[in-house]
Amino acid sequence: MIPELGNFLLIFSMINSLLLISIAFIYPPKDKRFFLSASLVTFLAIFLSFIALEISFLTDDFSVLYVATNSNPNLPIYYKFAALWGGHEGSLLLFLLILAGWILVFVFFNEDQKYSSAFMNIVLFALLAFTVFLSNPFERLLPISSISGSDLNPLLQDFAFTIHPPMLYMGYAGLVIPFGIAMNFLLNREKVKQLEPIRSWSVVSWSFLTLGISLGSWWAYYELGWGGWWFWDPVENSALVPWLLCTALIHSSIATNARQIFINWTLALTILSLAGSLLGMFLVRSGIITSVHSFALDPDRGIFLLLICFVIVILGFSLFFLKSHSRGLKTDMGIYSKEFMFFINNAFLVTLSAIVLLGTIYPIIYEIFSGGDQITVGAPYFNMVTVPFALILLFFQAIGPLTKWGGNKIDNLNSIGIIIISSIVLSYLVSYLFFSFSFYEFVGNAIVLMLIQSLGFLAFKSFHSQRKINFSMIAGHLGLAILTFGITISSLNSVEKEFVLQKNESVLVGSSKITLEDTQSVQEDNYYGDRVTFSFQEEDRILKLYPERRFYPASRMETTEAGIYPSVYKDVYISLGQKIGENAWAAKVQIKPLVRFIWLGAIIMFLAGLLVRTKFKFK
Amino acid sequence: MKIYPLLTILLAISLFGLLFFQLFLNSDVQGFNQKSLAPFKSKLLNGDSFTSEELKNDSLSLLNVWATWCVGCRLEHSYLMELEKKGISIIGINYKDDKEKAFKWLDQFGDPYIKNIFDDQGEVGFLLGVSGAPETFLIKNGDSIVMHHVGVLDKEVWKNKFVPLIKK
Amino acid sequence: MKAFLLILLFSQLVYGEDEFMTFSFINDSDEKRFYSLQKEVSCPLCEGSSIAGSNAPIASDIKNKIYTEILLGKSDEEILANLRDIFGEEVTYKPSFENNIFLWLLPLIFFLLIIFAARIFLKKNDKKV
Repeated sequence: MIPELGNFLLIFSMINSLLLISIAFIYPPKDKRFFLSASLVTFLAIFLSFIALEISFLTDDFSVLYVATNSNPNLPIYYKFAALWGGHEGSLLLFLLILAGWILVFVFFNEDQKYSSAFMNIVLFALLAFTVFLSNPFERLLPISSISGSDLNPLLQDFAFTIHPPMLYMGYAGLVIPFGIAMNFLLNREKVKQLEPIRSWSVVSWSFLTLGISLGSWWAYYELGWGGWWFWDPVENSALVPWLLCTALIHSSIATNARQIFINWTLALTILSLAGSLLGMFLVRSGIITSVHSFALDPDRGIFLLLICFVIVILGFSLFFLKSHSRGLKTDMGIYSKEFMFFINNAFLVTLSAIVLLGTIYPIIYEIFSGGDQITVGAPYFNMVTVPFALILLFFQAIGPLTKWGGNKIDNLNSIGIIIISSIVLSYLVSYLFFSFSFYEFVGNAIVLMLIQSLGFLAFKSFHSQRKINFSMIAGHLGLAILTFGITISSLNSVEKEFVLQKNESVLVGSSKITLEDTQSVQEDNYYGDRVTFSFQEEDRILKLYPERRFYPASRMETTEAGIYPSVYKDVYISLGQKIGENAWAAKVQIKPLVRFIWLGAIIMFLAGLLVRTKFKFK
Repeated sequence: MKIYPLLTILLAISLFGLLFFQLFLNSDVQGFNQKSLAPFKSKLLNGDSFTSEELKNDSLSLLNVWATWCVGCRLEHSYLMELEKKGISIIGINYKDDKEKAFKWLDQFGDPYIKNIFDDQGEVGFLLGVSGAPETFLIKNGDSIVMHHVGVLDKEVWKNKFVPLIKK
Repeated sequence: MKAFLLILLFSQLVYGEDEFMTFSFINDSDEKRFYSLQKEVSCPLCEGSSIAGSNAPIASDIKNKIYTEILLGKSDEEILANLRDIFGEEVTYKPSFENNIFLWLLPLIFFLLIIFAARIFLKKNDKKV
């Protein structure tokens, strides 16, 4: 009964969404009350439908096919709740819920409506239709054969992992809002000021994308067991591309708001970032690219998802090319102007997204054009190719905020000069003192120093001139600087060693000694395995680490749980290999300095983004 | 301004066209690159020695990688027996296995192999590009790999992947 | 010295019951190469994992192979090419330059495009209002 109700509510919300679109275009209402009530009803219907599915999960209703294939009676309550979005159909329902929620929030806070929410509902309606007809989570499993359900992949029974999709969806879904605003502007153009809200909405989406991506990275680090935090996996790249485009969108809209320039860039970027997130969702679900976390899917369903993405792109760009005729205001824009800095920002970020997207798609292109040959494009390519662009971009990020609008000469010339020179010198000194002569480390550190000095300079100036301090921007950029620093140091200074140890044997890694102390058997509800105690002795203290190897009988999966000793300065990371005999193990140790700075920087960026609407003023 | 719309349309069509095309493509129909087989020496289960030279006697040889620890091998075994009845000669590669267990298995379930290479260290497998079991190879003239199937060999796979090559 | 090491190595392979060799190197740079090469090779059996991050038997086999080849003095490129011959192009994460010129040149093309666009941008807006 309840699943049928859930299905009905979904269909109802789909019709309601279509209603909103139709009325908006055929008989536009005078004020926003219609849109508010329609959006509220749509949201409530989807919300109740979501509740219905949750009830099915929490009551172990295995007559629902989706519940049977994604849950198990022995799962703890929290994981049963989260299991709703562990598979394709349910995660779509979660996405729909978040999407409808964002539309409602937008309609509530915004006065200028006309067509914006209608365009957002086009996306919502398309995905609702897709869910109802092709990916319905309420489908029944008849006759009821599977009473025990199946087990979730043990890798997924983890807090960070369950929170990561909702955060990503908050980001992806939020990108319909700039899209809607842009489309409304094209169709119903009055003044450029209409585009002003794009900036705040895209920053909020960006914050959630940042959080979602970094949660995924952190999860992979401690769960997958081998110490990496970014693999340039197709699914990771699918989230990175919209993130990069969204970053470009934020900055482009800042320029548009300030000087009415880059209007076309801003409009185009709203389409591209939404398309990027839809495409990303398609890539993850279509099975077109295999990876650690793709949902296994029918090619047929993949076709329709791709079609939706394609239609949105065509719709968006048709409107864009037909209706956009502005060239914006002409101001003085020399090479030392802030305008030019924003141009660089847009150009580089779009380039980076294109490169990442192409690298991800390339194996498909190669396979088609070579008649079936397979190829893999992975970390070596992406690292080699993106790092130079990223470093140049970060350099401009450091000096950009110090330039002036319409500036023809370098403003703040002295300050910029001091910042650049001092950073180069300091970075060189650091490399010299630590005996590390890596070029990238030198450049990376120099740029981080430039970023920090530049931010300090900005903060100081704002404070001094009693202007409002743009806390969100400074904190956001600071977060990025910390993240960059973490990446630079940990990537270039990590130490690793593989070894085989018997009980009470030791091995030296640098000046630290690792001893295998003991092996114990462990047994829990849904797994059993071994837990090994290692001691890590350095200078003045001894740390203990407890890596494990587990076997989950229900899904017949083996996992390695790494033993991690985390700290701000470095992580010690031990992962087990094969067991040898009764008490000896092959294992690998990694010492990763400042790796936590990566996620620290990301969290700061997330929080900074949420504060976009607050301004601090010093009296 | 006219080139931008054109460019965008071109880009959109090529990107989406590519992805659509890939979806329609049957992933089973994959081209297979011929690889050359490096010569090797090994021992058979019965103790005799074996070299890859012996494969040159036949224009086509079928090599099947199996092991007693491999669940899929149990599944494909009955089909292998069928192939043997049809007169197809299969050379087995007993991969990373225990000799005693292997003999017991062949006694218990039947022996579809004309010869069985004893590859307990996986060295022969490594040369072929084996990553696990079961896997089946079609070797031409003893020196090139013309087909490598990863997974269970059943009627479908035999018909789609191996028969077309044998017919040539 | 090398010959002695090789004999030691092969004797381990033939007489050792376990495939778990302790990877010891003469110098640090070889050891660094060993670990970085591992990250460039994908485990043929596992989806999306490099052999550095996999415990599958085939991953250990490939690790051993890389180890032996480093000791034999082969270069990184030779080792990777050898693995490609055996397991196919898709086993390495870095696509070869010759077969994938477009992929490798594209970033450069983009960079030139940016410079080109920047010039247009600056020229277009050069007039003082």
